[in-house]
Amino acid sequence: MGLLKKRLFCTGLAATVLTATTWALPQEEKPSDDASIFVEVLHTSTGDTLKNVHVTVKDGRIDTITAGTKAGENSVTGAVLTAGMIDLSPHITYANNAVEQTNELESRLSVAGALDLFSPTWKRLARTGVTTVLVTPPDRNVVGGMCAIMKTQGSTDLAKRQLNGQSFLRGAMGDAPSSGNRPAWGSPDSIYNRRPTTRMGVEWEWRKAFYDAAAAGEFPELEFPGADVFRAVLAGNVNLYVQAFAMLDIRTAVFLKEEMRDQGFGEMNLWIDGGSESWKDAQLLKRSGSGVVLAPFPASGRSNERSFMAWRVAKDLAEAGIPFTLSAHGGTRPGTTIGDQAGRAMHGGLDFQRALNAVTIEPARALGMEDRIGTSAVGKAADLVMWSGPPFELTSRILAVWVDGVLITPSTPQKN
Amino acid sequence: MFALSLTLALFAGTGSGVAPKAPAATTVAPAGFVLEADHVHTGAGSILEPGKVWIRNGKIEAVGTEVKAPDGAVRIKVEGHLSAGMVALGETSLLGYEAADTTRFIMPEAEGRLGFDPKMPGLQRLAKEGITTVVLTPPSHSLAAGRGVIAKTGTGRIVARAESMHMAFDSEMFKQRSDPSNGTDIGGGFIVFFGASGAVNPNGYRSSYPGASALLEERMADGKGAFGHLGEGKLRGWLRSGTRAEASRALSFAKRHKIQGTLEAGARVGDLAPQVKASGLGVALGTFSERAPHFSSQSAIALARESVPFGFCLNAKARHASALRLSAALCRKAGLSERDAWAALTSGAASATGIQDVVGELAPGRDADLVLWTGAPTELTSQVMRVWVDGQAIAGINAKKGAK
Repeated sequence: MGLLKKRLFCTGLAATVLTATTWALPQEEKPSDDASIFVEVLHTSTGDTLKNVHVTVKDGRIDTITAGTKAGENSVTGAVLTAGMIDLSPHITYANNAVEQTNELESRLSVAGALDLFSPTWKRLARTGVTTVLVTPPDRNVVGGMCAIMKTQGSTDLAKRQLNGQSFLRGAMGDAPSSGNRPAWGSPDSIYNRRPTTRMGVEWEWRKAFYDAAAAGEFPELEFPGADVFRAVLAGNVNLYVQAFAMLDIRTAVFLKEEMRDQGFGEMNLWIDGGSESWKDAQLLKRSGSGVVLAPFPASGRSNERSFMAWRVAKDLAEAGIPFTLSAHGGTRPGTTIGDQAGRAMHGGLDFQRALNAVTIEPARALGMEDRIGTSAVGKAADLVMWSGPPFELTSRILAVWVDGVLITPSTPQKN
Repeated sequence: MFALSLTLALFAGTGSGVAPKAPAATTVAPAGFVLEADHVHTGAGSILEPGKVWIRNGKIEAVGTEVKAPDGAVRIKVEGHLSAGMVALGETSLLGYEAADTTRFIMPEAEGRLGFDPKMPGLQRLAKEGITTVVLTPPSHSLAAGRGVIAKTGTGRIVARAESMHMAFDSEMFKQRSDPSNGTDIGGGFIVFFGASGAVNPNGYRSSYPGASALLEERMADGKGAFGHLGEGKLRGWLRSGTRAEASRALSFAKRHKIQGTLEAGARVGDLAPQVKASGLGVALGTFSERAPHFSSQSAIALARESVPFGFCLNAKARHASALRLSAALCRKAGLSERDAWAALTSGAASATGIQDVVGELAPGRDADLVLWTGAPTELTSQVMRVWVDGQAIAGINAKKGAK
C-alpha cells in the first residue's frame, strides 16, 4: 500500500510538473440512474403537495412515489422535492462562432451544431436545478436559426443528448441584430454591409422573409434557401421565438404575427423571449395568443435594451391568462439562478404554485414535452431538485439535483 | 575488410551511372547492402541483438539475426542502435503560406504537391533528427484546403497516392480578418463580410460552426470532385479539430460519411478515445512545447489503451523536429509504454495516416528508411548518427559521438 501510494504520488507529480495539465479521465462506467429519495414535502407541479414522500428512481425515470411513509434505508433525504426546472432562454451559446454572419436570415441552421457539450457551463447550470434547456442561437442575426432542446447533463454525444420536441425558429427584434454595424455612433462601415442598422431595418427583414416565403409557396421560381422553414412557421408547425424586451419590440413582433394572419399566410405560434415590458400591454399579448419567456428580474427594474421590468409582470401575465415561463438567462451565481427568478416573481405577487409551474410544467408544455418532463409523476424523467426548505426562498439551498436519475450535485447531500 | 574494399571499388567503377549523385557507394550495388548492428529495433517492441537488415533498390528485403543476402551485397557493420525512421504528422510550415490561400474558403481540388519543393532545406533539418517521413498539411484557414503531401525528408520523394483532403472543424477557419474582402472584424469578434466588387462575401466564407458544417454537408451531398472521392472512400480525410466539441463534430462527420483518415486533435481528445476507436480514424496529436501548455500525455495514454493509432504533429508553436521525441518521452514518463511511445513516432503515426504498409517498421517490403542512433531510440539522450532514406545514406549528418 505504501509503495502504491508513493508511486501514485510520483506519477502525479511528474505529470503535473512536466505537462502542467492533468485531469481525471472520465469514468468508464455509466453513472447510476437509480435512486431512493425521501422528502418531507413533494410539490408535483400538477397542483398536488404530498407529505413524507418516498420516491424511487429506476433507469432514469420516476419508478414509485409513496406518500405518508418513512425514509428507506439508503434514501437521500431532504426537506422539499420539485421537478427539475426548465429554462427556455439559458444564453448558453453566446459565442461568436455560433453566429453565421454571412446570411441575415439563417433559418436552415441549428444552434445544435455550435454547442460545446464539454463546457463546464452545463454542470454549473445543472447545479442551479435546471435540468432541461431550450438553447437559442445568439441574436446577432435577424433570424439566427433553429433552437435545440437539451438536457443539462448526460452524454457528450450530441445525438444522444438532444431531445425531440417542439421546433423553435429563433430571431430577434430590437437592438441585438442591428447593433453589429455600429449604428449607434455614425454611419455604417460600408455600403456593402449586410446588416440592418436600425430597428426599422430589422423589422423590414422579418416581414420580407415571410412575404417572400409565402410568395415562393405559390410561385416556385421565387423559392430561396430556407423558405420552407418560414412557411412551416406560418403553418404553425414550427414556433417562432423572438427576442423582444421593450414594449416597442414586443408590439412589432405581435403585429408581425397579426399581419401574417390578416394576409391569409397563416397563424404562427409566437413566443416572446424577454418580454420585460409586457406588463405595459398584457391585453395585446392575450389578444394575439402569444407566450412569453420572461427575462430575469433586475433589482433596479432596468432590464435589457433600456426596457423597464416591473416586479408585477409575472403576476400580470398570470392574471391575463397568458402562457409564460421564467428564465435566468443562464444565471448561476447565487441570487441570479432560475429559482431566484421564481422567488422574485413571487415577490411581485405571483403565488407559489404558479411560480413553480412557470419553471417546470409551463416550459415543458411550450416544448411539447409535458408527457416526459416538467412534473414529478411516476413514469416521468427523473429530473428532480431537492431543497433544504421552501423552494424559491432566498434562505433555501439546493441540496441535490438529479438529471435523468443521475445525481449531479452535491455528491454528499447534507441532511436538513 | 579487404573484400569490402574490393566490392566498393568494383561498383564505383561499374555502377556510377545507375544512381546519380549517390551519397554513398553502398546504394549502387545491384545486390543491395546489408547493415549489421548490435541492436536492431524492428518495431513493435522487438529488438534483435545483433541484427541485420538487407536493403536493395530502396526497399528492405529482409530483417533478422541472419539474412540471406547474395554474395554481391555489400556488408556494412555499424555501431549503435538501428531503427526505422520516424514519421512526423501535420507539419504546416514547409508548405508554408504557399498553401494558405486567404481568398478561397473551399478549394477541395487543390494539391499540396504542386506547391511542394523537394529540395527545401526544412526537409534536411527533419532528416537530421531522424525523421524520414513527414506529412505536410496546408496551414488551413480554409474549410477544405485540398490535399496535403506525404514526403520523404532526405530525398524529397513524394509517397505516391497516400494524401488526404484537409478539412477544418476548428475555429482557425473563422480568423480571416486581415483582408477586407474576407470580412472585417467590427469589434467584439464579429466579422462583417463585404467585397470590393460589391458582392457580399464573394469568397463564400462562413463565420459559424453550423454554417461551415452545412457547407461541407452540401458539398458531400453534391458528391462532385474531391468530395465525391471522399464519400466513395477513394480519398482519405484529414479532419482538423481543437477542442473536444470540435473533435466530436469531426467524428460525427466521419461517421456519417464513412470517412477514413486522420483526426488532428487537441490535448483533451483522450476523453473521446472510445468514440475515436469506433470511428476507425487515426489521431494526430500536438507536440509538447513550452509555449503550448495544453499538451497532454494523458490523451496519448487513453488512445493507446483503446489501440487507436496516433502520432505527433509538428505544427505546435515550437515546431522543432526534436519536439517529436520529447513529446513521446513525456508520454512515457506519464505512463505510456515504451512500445506505444515508439509506435507514436513510427508505425502508429504511419497507421494514423494510412501508410503503415510503406514505412514505420523494419520489415520486408517497407521503404528502407533507417536511423542509426548512439543508444536506444526511445531514450531522449540518444543521438542520430546516420540516416538512410529510400536506401540512400543522407549526407551532411554529423556522426555524433554521444555520451553512450
